[in-house]
Amino acid sequence: MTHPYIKRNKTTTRNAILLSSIICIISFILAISFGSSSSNLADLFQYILSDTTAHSNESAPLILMTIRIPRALLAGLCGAALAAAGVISQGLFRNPLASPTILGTSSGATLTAAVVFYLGTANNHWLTIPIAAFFGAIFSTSFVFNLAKKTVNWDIEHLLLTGVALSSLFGALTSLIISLSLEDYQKTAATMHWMLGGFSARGWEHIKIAIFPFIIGLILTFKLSGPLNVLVFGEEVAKNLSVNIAQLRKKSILAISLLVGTSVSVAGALPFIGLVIPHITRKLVGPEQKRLLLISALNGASITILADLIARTIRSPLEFEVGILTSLLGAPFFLWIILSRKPLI
Amino acid sequence: MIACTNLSVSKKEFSILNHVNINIPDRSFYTILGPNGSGKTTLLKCICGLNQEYSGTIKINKEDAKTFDEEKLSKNITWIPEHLNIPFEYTALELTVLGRFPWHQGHPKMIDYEKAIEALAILDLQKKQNQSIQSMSSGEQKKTLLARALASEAEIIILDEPLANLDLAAAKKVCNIFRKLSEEGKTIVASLHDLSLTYRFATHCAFLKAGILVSSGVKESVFVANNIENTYEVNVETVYDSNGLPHLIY
Repeated sequence: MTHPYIKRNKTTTRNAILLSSIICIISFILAISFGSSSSNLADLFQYILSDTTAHSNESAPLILMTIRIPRALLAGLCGAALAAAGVISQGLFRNPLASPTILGTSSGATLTAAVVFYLGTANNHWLTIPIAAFFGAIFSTSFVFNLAKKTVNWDIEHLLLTGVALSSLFGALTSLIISLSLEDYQKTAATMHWMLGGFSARGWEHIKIAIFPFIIGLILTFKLSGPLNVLVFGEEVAKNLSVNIAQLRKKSILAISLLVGTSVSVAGALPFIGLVIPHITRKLVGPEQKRLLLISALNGASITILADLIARTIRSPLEFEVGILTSLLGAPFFLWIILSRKPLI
Repeated sequence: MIACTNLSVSKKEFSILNHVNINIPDRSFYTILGPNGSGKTTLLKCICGLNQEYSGTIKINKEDAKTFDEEKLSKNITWIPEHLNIPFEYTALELTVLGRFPWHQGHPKMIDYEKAIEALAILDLQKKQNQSIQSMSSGEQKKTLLARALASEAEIIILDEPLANLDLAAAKKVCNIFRKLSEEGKTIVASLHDLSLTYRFATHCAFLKAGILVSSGVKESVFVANNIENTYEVNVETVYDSNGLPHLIY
């Protein structure tokens, strides 16, 4: 026998998960159905079902299998990872404004990855950039965390200003590195192309890079959601409720860095996904971490897939970078959150 | 039984607690009284293990509190601080269930919900259990956070200023609940500012002034004009009512 509250709770949670999954699947189908060349799902099924020699449009299934499907998959994975990282950072910092963009996690990852590009070691091994981005993310997040910890009550001004200062510093250093490499046109072009972010020319090899860190990161975030719920009471009470604060901190920063670092290394920064998605999802399904995490990840995937679809179809056959689109939409949203914030207890 | 012996705490060169000796027996409603800055919160934090930087010893059921690991501490002592800033819109029920984390480790069962609902009902919050804490009045928020103490299975409950933000009726009710809990076997230690409620409901009390224990023990023997005068530096007059019971006027 279960308590009626648990039952009701479980039903609403299940419905929300179901709805988000359906939206995610629809986004995926839309994303692989539209593009500068007219190939769609029907072509793929026709290709799979029919005799390989018999069909008329040779390039359509090829476009789907080698371009659109991996691209949409990667967009979904990155969106889910960033949204999950946003949920964890908001829980850890006990602040609905904390997110990879605001905390400087993304810019830290971008800087170290740019350094690797500059040094030319990126071509040595396919894991070089993800590892560099991971360490950049871990450094900047721990740095902001340690500064924020020193201020009384973790006040939001300190957190935001530290994040802003750190982001500008990392941004300036990244620009410096690009300007250093300007003489080598090819290197600059490669760095810039990667930095602007987005999923153009991303394929199965990028999924190969990202899939394992994402899975490990997402599993870790799920394990952390129980104690992160307790952290809503603040560190002292959480400690009194048997939560090991030091360990929770370390693991959360590790998970955030793994997810953000990997996402940055394959698709650039994609600003504001990690802020906006958890925020909206929390309004819809409440702050309970496990539910929030799962549904945010699904919503993050849908939104990123759709954003990428818009970015590559709006002035087809040219595309613009999806990171620009998320910034254009995310920055005003961020302002709106700040302006409409209620005073806390 | 909580026994503090020679408990001293100092921060930089300031002495916050100075050789405090205090024995808190089981099944008592023990109130700590004293002016602001007298060291009440520090004393409570030392007992529940949140402040480990003290000299002297604290023994909980004859075991040194410093040897307790996190799990043992959390299952024996519940800590309810004065202020809590809840940054997200958790419901009263969700928060109360979260307060039972040491017992369910993030996977609440039927019993956890039952205890939480029961605790909220005792504090007249049954109709607000699915309401977000941020939409409540400050008194309701305070009661929601106190519900955690009632839902807990720990034998010792330590509360810092549990009556802050509560109106007269609610404060009286909460004190009554504490007294009842202590009679049912729990040990309640609370810092209070309300002398008349203490006199009416507490079993024991201690007066602290500038980190020094003025007096402690059974309420009837400690609650005398002299101690209150010394602690708060106010004049106290004792009058006797028609039944011959003493009343303090300050």
